[in-house]
Amino acid sequence: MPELKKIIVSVKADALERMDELVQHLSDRGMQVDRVLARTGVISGSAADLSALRTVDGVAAVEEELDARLPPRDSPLQ
Amino acid sequence: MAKSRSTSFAKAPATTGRYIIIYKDTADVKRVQQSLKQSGGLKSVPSSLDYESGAIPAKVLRESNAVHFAKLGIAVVTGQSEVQALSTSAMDADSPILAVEPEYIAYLTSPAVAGIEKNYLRGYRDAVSHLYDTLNGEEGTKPAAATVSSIFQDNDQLTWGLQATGVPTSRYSGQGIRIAVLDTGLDQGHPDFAGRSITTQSFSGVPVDDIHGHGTHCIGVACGPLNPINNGRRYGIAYNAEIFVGKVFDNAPEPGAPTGNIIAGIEWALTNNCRVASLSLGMPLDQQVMQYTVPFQQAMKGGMLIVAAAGNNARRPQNPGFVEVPANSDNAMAVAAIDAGLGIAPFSAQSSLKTGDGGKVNIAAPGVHVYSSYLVSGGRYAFLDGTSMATPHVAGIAALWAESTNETGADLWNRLLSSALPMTLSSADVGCGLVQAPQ
Repeated sequence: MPELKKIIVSVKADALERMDELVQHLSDRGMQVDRVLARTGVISGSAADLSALRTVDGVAAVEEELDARLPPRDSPLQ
Repeated sequence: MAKSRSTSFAKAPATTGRYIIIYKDTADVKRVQQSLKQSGGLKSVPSSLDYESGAIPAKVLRESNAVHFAKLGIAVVTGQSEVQALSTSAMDADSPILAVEPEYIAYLTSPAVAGIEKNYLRGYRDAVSHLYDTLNGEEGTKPAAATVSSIFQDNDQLTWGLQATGVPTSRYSGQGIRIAVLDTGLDQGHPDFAGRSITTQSFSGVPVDDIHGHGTHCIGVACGPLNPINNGRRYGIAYNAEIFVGKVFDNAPEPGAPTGNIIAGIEWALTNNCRVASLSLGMPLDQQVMQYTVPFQQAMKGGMLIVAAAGNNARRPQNPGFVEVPANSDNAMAVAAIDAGLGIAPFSAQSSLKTGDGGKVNIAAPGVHVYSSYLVSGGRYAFLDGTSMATPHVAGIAALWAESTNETGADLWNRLLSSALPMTLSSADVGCGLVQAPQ
């Protein structure tokens, strides 16, 4: 079983109106959906096979999720 | 000798009583110190080389009779007899001194504002420009103009950052405008926020309470009160704005925020009709990523301006860094940090050469030695440095513009950039210039 990766699926502007349908298609192709953000067009979750998700109609991009980090609180540079 | 320079002043500029001693580029550090001490009779001459960052603390600048800026080959000297002695010694052909000039007081004004006389802020900008021209003309070098001296400083009433951005004289307060700050949360026990309209939401699975300090500091700059509870100086900009606190970071010692949390915060802010979202966060990646560019485009279309920290990945002068993710998204306004001398902060990232329009620095704001609210347990107030601190200056001022013009999204973006005060620094460093509040 390939390893699940945390991913962000961004949705094309013209597909925002059929987010539910997209979520269904992504789930069918193995994505575990955590959050659906209808206005910004982002679906976050996990998947093992990213390429299978990229071919879903209306998907702009499938990327591994990035992390923003802050320095510790005693760091003078923030 | 120095070339003469035309100025924008109708009459001769006022001087500070201090003098700028400009040394020849052949004079090494030892020779300059020797000149100041032996010819000028100055006992102690603090040098920028004495400080790790090259930045001489404001206190030392204020209290010393002479300060040596080694990288620039200049010294700032107070005292009639000392200056006289140095001027006399400059007449010797083998003197290391190129020129002795009075340090000018310039008046930094908001452009296109009536009643400039009332609004002026005292500074040394003209001296800095003059010095730059002099050095540039003589040796073709480009010293970081604003490391020359401190133009602004905090006083009992105001932080230097508010002074430099025209906030104190603005008629606006962010009334009726919602600002989202996506960060480490807010210390809700801080007395400076008592009675304010505050909406909170956590996206990281931990309570919205700030245990780091970063979020409380940023919210303070963007939305802090007109009159802080301790009768201390004002540090906050949009004091009547409605505050939306989105906690996107976890509570780890080095907090982390995955994109999903941050975009969930953007979605929340957009849904709640926030006009501005302040993102003092990033990751040092010099490429655009669609997980930010796509949702940010929707946010802009939806009328919300996203302001983001350009990044602290520069180590100037060796390494100018690059505007990082997510500030490098086309619809994020990338904010650089300047210091109280109106120089670029050594850590402030420059426009990226790789990520096109999105990777440009768009605007600059105060981001060095920034005083604001902090964790109550950490002393209530703190000074911090970073493009993180510059960002909420722009967010708060954006709220003032939103209030004064009713503009949103791309219009608000254009308004902020077109009203910025031009600077002598490179646009790759500061974009359109120093953010300015509506008057």
